[in-house]
Amino acid sequence: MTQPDGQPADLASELPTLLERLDAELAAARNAEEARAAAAKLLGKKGALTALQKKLGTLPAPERPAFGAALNQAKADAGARLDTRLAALEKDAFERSLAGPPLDPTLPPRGLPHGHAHPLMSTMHDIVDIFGRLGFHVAEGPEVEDDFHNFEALNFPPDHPARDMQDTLFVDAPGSLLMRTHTSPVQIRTMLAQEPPVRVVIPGAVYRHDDDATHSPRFHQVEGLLVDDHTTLADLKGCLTLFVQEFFGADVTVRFRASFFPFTEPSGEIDCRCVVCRGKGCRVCKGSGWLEILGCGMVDPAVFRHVGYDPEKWQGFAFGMGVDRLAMLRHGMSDIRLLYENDLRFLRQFQ
Amino acid sequence: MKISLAWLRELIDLPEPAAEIAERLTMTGFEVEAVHRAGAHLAGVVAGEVLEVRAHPGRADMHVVVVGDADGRRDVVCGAPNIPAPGGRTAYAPPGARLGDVVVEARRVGGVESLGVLCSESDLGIGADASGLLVLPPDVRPGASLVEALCLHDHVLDVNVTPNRPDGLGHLGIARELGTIFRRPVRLPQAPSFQRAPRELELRVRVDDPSGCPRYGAQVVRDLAVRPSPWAIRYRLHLLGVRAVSNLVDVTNLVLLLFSQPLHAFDLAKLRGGAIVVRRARDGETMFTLDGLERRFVPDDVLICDGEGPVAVAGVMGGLSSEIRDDTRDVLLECAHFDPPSIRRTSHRLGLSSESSYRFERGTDRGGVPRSLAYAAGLMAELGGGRVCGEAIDAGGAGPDPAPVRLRPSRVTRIVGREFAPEEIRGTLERLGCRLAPASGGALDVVAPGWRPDLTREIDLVEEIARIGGYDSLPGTPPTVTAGPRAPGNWERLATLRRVLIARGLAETVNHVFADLPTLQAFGATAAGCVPLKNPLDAGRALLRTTLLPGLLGDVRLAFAHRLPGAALFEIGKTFHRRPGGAPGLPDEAWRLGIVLAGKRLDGLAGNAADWDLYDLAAMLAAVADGSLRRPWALRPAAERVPWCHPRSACLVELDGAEAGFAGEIHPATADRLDVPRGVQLLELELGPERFRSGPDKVRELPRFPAVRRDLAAVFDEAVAAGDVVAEARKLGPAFLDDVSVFDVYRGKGIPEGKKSMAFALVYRHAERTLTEDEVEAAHGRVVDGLVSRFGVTIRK
Repeated sequence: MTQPDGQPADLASELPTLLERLDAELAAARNAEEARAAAAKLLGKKGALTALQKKLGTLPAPERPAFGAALNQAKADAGARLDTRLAALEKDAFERSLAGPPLDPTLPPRGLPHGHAHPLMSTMHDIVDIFGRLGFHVAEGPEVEDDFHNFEALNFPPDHPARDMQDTLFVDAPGSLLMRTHTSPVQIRTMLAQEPPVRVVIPGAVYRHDDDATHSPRFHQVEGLLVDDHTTLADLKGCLTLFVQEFFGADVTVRFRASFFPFTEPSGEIDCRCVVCRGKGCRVCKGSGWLEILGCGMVDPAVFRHVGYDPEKWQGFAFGMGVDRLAMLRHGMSDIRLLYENDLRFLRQFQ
Repeated sequence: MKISLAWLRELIDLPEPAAEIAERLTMTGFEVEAVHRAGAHLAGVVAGEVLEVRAHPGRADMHVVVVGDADGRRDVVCGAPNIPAPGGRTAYAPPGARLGDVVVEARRVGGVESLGVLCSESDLGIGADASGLLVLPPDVRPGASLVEALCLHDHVLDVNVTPNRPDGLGHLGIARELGTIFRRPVRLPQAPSFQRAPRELELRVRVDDPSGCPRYGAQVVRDLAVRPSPWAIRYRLHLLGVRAVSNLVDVTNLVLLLFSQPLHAFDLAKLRGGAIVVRRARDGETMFTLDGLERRFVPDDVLICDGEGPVAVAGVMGGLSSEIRDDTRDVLLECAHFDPPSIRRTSHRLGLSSESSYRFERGTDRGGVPRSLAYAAGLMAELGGGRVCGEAIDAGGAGPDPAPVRLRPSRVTRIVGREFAPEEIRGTLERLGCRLAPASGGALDVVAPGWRPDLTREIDLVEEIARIGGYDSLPGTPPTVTAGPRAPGNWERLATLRRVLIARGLAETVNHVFADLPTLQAFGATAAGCVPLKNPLDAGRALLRTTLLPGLLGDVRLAFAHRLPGAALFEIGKTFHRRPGGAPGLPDEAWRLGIVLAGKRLDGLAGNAADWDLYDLAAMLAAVADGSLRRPWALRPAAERVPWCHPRSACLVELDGAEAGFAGEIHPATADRLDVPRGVQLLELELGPERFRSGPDKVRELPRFPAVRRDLAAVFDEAVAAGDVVAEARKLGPAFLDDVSVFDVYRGKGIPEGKKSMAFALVYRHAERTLTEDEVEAAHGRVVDGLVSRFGVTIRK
């Protein structure tokens, strides 16, 4: 049955059909854009509901309110259906964004990887840091030295067998220059430059005429010097025991035994229970169960006289240790040459 | 120094086990580095009786020996030339016995099964003789343990004797030390008693150089027969690492090892003119020493001469002409005390060090000369079947007592940090052999014994009391920390710098400082500017480095040898530079930073790996300058100044406008010459303290008004650097031109050859007000116009 245009009953009867078609199109819409396009077929400027709105004026006045209300209801319904569908689509899209295979987290990271600290330098810095906490300042000095600072002022007289303890590399220049055989000349330079009290720690490279699996012609020491008017051998023992326990761990056993150095008297050496075999005896401690850690002693009065300190007034201790050996112990190395070869395969093991 | 525990036990009661004795010596200053158990390596080796000797059926050089031990008879194949006749005894290692690390097994030799082996001294590791079997005395019971039969049990202590303790170079000295430690008496060794025969010839001794030779003792021993020493002496010498030679020579070595007193034995028949003269050498005088070399002397050397010329270098080595030989019958024994520095100078000058010179240069016991001489003479007469003739000659005598050393007990406490009872102090010093006399104020006047030349000052005595008291008995007082002014120095600055570089991805290296001239010259050094060594390890390590690069490039070479794809390394270290014009004094030492980037830049996926280039160096430089030095930095092209870098990338580094180093890719010719891969990026920077800016950063007020950005893209000649454009724009712009930066460089489609397009961002911002559109337009227009006329560029729209 065909109705002439403008009949109110006909107009109103179109609304459910339009909404049903909208439902179908919204359901088919794959995204927000398609959903909005479907809704625009009703609600847009050229939309079906908009067109019906324009016909409202052609209706007889008594019918207008009812039709108007139905039309508004239909618009609201269409809008609500669009919003519902949009919300559902958004939820779908969100869910989809979380789905799918994970990124491959095993790929190498972007950017340069972190570099590598040399074990020798790390060890030296750690030692200096420990003494820094005990109030020692860093002092440094030249690696090319003269006989006075390296030997004479340290109470190694000329023609004395104590010089045999250190096989020296000499510099071919006037003034009997040499590669310092220990960091001790910095003690002399420090004391010549200042009055007591002195409390310095001296890190640096030293040299000997020696080159094999256990000796490197260049190696590293950390030296310390404390001078005031009261420090004793017992203070030395307390201070250096503390150091060894800071460095190797509080549970390590330390022993303090007599020894000889020309520039200290009384002289001693500090050993700790072998950190490898725990005292049972192994290759590292040569079966003795003990590891020599450092040499030390009370500054010899002859040294004080060389730097113009009154040995009746001032006293104190000095100590020195081989950094290479401590680094090797700490990292479980047996060949000192690894420390100077800079084999990247070796260095890469240190962060 | 090797010390026999069995010998020590002849001198002092030592019931303690070897390990405890070693520990006590170590704690008081004679570090025992090892204890070897002698005899332990010969488990199961026994005395065997030879029962029968047969010819070997298949081998003409062998015999089959039937050996009897506790278990019966066994056949042993033996090739030794001195198989004892039946009834004789020899060393027999049956199957299962140990010879050191080897376990003996039955073995077929030429078709005959040999049940074990017969052994020589050398096979057994108890002597040097490998010429034939060890023949045992006939009274040894077959089957007895060889170790028991020959008293092979001993412990040999390896003692590290420090240069201040020459007394420790003899068993008596170690025994005395143990006597002090354990508070026990020491039994002085007694020489075999002997009757002095009358003097038969006149021998004059004259010391012309009493400062070089304060005491000279001599003794004649006659009618000696040279023969091997008894087994016990040979074994003891063997254990102590000394080769047994003959009875006469072995006696001198025994006395050396017992008293730490070197002796010399002259063949009396070879001494001319009936005289011994101790004098300084004449310049150019020569003599052949025992080792067969002709030595030339200077007037500083002390010589022992006979009536005609030198026969020994005093305290160092004897002369060849008067050496003890197998036919020697009469001996002049010399036992002297020489001036230590003089011996050391001669020994060093001649490059000749002996057991003798080693002890004399450390100091011997002048007072002990007569005892050592009498001991040696008596033993020599006994072992050689000879006669000690006449009284010993003693020129110089014991000399005056040394001046006493004053010891204040308060000083001991003040240095050591613990109280010592007066009787403990006195007891220790007396046990050490010191003579004490009370002095005022509770002090002691101490005269040290002659065998302790190291005890000449109060502090030397303080050390004795502390070490014998035991360092382990000291309280360890924890340190008190006193805070003082402390500015961060070089060490702290370099510590930060290395952390920055490691965080940037570089590996820290530590290289040797030795180099050769051609390598240093490749980086601009001159021979006159380098510091040479007098006694280098070898020719390739004769100079001190003037640059860090050779070491770093060596590390790169190693990485490539190991087929690593790349290496990014740095070193913070010193370089050494001779003072300009050869000025005296120490060379200049400079802290420097060296960086090398070689091979691939391994950044994420290996497929994305790229070659390092100048901009990687610039990134490292920026990290250093911003993160550690805190200075603005710049790179300036300077091919002519850095000829070891590729001319297209060679740059000088500027920090705050001051030249501080260089950067660039290694010149391919330099790379080829030094045998390192091409394309390595190099950077070296001086790190003097002035390079580091100190003090806190000052804050600028944050901008309160909005910025306006205008971009500018233009086509430039390749030769124009972005930095030049930025600098020019800053010059052209108004005060409110806040920032200029390059953000794109493009070559290729649409850009003519030899040109490049560069795009810049210009940010305008006024500190005090909002800029108007017109102001910005006008200012920007002036910048653009200025750049167009300065660089002749075309602006890209």
